[in-house]
Amino acid sequence: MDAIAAAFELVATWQVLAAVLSAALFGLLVGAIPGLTATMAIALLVPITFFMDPVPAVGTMVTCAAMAIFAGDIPGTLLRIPGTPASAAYAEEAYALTRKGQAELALGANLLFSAIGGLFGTAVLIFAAPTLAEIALKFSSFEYFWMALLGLTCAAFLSVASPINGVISLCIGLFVATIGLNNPAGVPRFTFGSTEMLAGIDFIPAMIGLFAVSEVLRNIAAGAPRWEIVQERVGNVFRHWGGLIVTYWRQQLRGNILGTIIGALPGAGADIAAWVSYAISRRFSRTPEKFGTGHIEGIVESTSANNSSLSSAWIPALVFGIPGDTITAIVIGVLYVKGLNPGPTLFLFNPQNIYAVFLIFVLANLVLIPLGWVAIKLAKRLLQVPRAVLMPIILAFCIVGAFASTNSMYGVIVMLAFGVLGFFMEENEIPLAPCILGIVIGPILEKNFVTSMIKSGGSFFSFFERPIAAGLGILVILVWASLLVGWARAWRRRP
Amino acid sequence: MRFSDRMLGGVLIAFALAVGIYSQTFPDIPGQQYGAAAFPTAIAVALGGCGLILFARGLLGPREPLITLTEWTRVPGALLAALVTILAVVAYILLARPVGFVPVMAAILAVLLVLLRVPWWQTAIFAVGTTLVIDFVFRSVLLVPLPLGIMPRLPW
Amino acid sequence: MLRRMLLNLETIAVCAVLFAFVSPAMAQYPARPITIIVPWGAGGGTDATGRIIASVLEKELGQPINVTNRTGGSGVVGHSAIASAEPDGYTLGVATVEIGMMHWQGLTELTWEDYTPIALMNEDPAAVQVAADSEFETIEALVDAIKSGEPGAFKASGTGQGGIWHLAIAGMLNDLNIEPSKVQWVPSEGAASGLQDMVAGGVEIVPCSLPEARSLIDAGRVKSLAIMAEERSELFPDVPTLKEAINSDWQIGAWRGIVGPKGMPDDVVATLTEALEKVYNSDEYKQFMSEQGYGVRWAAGQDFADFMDQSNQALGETMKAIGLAE
Repeated sequence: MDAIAAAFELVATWQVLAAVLSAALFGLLVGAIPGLTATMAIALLVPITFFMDPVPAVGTMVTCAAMAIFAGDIPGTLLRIPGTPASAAYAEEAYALTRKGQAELALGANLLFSAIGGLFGTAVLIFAAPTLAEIALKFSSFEYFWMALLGLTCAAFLSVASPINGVISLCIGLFVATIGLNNPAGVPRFTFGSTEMLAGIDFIPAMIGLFAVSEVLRNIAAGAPRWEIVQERVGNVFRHWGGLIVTYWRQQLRGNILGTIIGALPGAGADIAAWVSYAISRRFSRTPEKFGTGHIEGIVESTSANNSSLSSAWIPALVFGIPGDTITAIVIGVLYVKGLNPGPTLFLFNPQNIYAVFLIFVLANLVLIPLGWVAIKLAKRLLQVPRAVLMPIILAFCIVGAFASTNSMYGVIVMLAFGVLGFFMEENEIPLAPCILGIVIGPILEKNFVTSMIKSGGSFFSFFERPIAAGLGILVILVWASLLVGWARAWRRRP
Repeated sequence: MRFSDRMLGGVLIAFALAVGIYSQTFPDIPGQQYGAAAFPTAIAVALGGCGLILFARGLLGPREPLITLTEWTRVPGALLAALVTILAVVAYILLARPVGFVPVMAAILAVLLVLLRVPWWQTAIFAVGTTLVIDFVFRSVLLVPLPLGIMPRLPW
Repeated sequence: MLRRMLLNLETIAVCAVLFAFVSPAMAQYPARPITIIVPWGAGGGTDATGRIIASVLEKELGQPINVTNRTGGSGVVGHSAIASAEPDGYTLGVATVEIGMMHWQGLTELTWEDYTPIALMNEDPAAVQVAADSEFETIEALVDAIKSGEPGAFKASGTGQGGIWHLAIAGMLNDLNIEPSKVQWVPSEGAASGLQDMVAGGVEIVPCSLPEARSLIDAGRVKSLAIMAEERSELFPDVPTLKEAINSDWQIGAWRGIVGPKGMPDDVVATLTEALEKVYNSDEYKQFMSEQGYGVRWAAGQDFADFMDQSNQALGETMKAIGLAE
């Protein structure tokens, strides 16, 4: 108990509160600008934290990350330009809501369920970190291979309208992921002698191109017509939120749990959590046909997932010093500098420090609500700007965002190429989402397949030899079997 | 621009063949069955399969022109506007490094705003204003090394 | 209307200020901000080292220093960006051990000779880690088991195919006259995922540096058997050197140093060397490195060039011996 009281004293200082608040504003800015990721925001904070005490140093990073992941939803919803990769999964869905005049509903839901998701992940972090970290440590390439395959299966749920176009999109994404040197064999593939291409296709400019640039192209081609819809005003926010929670508590809980699990596994982060949750939400929805037309259900589930995975990524980081995602990879370095060496000892010696960190997690997710609400109210005015003015400005932000992702013109080139590709794909009714999913999961799938094969000497049976791997493998086979049966039935019922 | 099933199928088959054949030149991991070529080959097979299905569907179905122009492209000036936008980004890629971020970005913003028939005085304000705001936020707050070119660093 | 006019006035004022700032003739170096290119991503050791050096160097030189990550292609992209920058002292970079590896693999033409060496700042030797519950308590027992075992009975991980830790273990075996292919390399994205795989039971050995393995060693999940360096590390003084344990002279490590593009003016190099020496000896740098567990090593000018030359040749020999270089 003394430790908890001491932790409160550590947190309740002006220095900490001011640090948390300014980090939140910074995270809001970075997250809302496409091309700038939460990871980048954290990296920029590192030199500043050198001059801070341990608790405010960690506090700024936690708050900044939570805020950035939420803020990524804002441009995703209003303009179909996901601010961070974690928002890409439901950007189209949220944009569809905006086009129905319900931008405020979508953003409000994003905000509320982001905060709840963050708090859920924090609760798990506080009460179950050591146990979950033990489980995460048991994952080897065999388990990750099955996980990645499950993730890819999600693409099947993302494109119910035309499975074949979905597979084409997925294959394009998977192919893009093979470009470069980043493969288990360590040989250049499809680089055609270019040094820049050795780095492969960076996911961020590709995403900006596919979603944002294609949208800008379409708008400018149409002469940037005025917005036709009037945005609904949401009256009492809290009553509104109450209604959402009552209707969608199952989706929320499922998103929270899934996000927490994915976040706790090293090697998968908030973006994958959002994709998988969105797909699962659609699969188990009573009204899957509404998905993609501006339906809040999937947004609730996946936004619940991405913020809870952000918190649970700290589980392996704090217990074993193994980063759960790129953000915690940076934070671990800072923890060492601040003398908060990750490991079981962190929980034994000086527990007030770790309790203070937990308090900061709670605080960060609470600060999210008022700040996020103000941000939504301000950002909504973007829709009052005429599109003829907005579209060129968006393009300008896309260009610098893509540039910032690689710090070179290569990012802009990739962005343009994918902008044209995205434009062409949508013209032919090939969905964009599976392509992004392919780019994200492709490398994980390949790496874990090849390394598993090296370990087992080329035997496929080894994928079923370890207990968790066998369980996951059987799950994948069952999911695929049910999918195939479903398709076969649909095929036979065709007139 | 919309490809018919036959056209899209054909393009996919050709692309899949190119990827598949080129992949066979990738070296193996010494002593291993599955190396750099395995994954691209699998993708090529899947893409080629999709292409074949589409191609067959196109042959069996009603005859369509290989490429149809979708509705919006028939609006006068639509294709031109899309082309100008793409060229603006290309201009940025080519010119930003030698000339500098501020003048090039202001120029392409001005071109696009004029293209969308924004009044000239608004064009001037938005083009210059946006460029300066981006320069300030990205260069000074976010420390992104935007190309300077012949421009001096702005006083922030 | 008034607001609009004010806006216009502001624009004019901004433009006026702008032209007033057109830089006069180049004064004493450094007259403007400096960029340091880091060829590896945010969150890694090279990024952290680059950023701490930059933040202390900033105070020494009195100019802002921007750290820019140019990642990908196993370091090739960033190293090329450093080499192709203007050699005016305003673009520097953190060169890493990979500069002596990638050209042997045919990934680039660049070698250490394409840079102006300024100062070596850090070196982290490789060490041999096994899981804490492994049956091997000493490096000698492990090496004997590898020697008598089947090829591929032991698997090691910790970096990509042909990465520095791959060379560390392969070079060690080669030095001990054991066929390097007896230990199968399993590529991984980095030391952290390799170590995790080892704890999960996927591989047996991770030959990464001690600071990378530190948290899992502290957590009692991993033990280190030997360090491939001349002296024991400060971080884990109980870990013997290879020389002490099995009388092998094999040494290898990952190093980081500040370099510039080839052909920098001598006075600029002199200014930078002096400033970096102060950085190296500063309390901030020393404290940061020791808290992260990173080793420090200093060499400047010709010493640094000789060091890179030597590293380059040693790596090339190893890579040829294990069939990674043509």
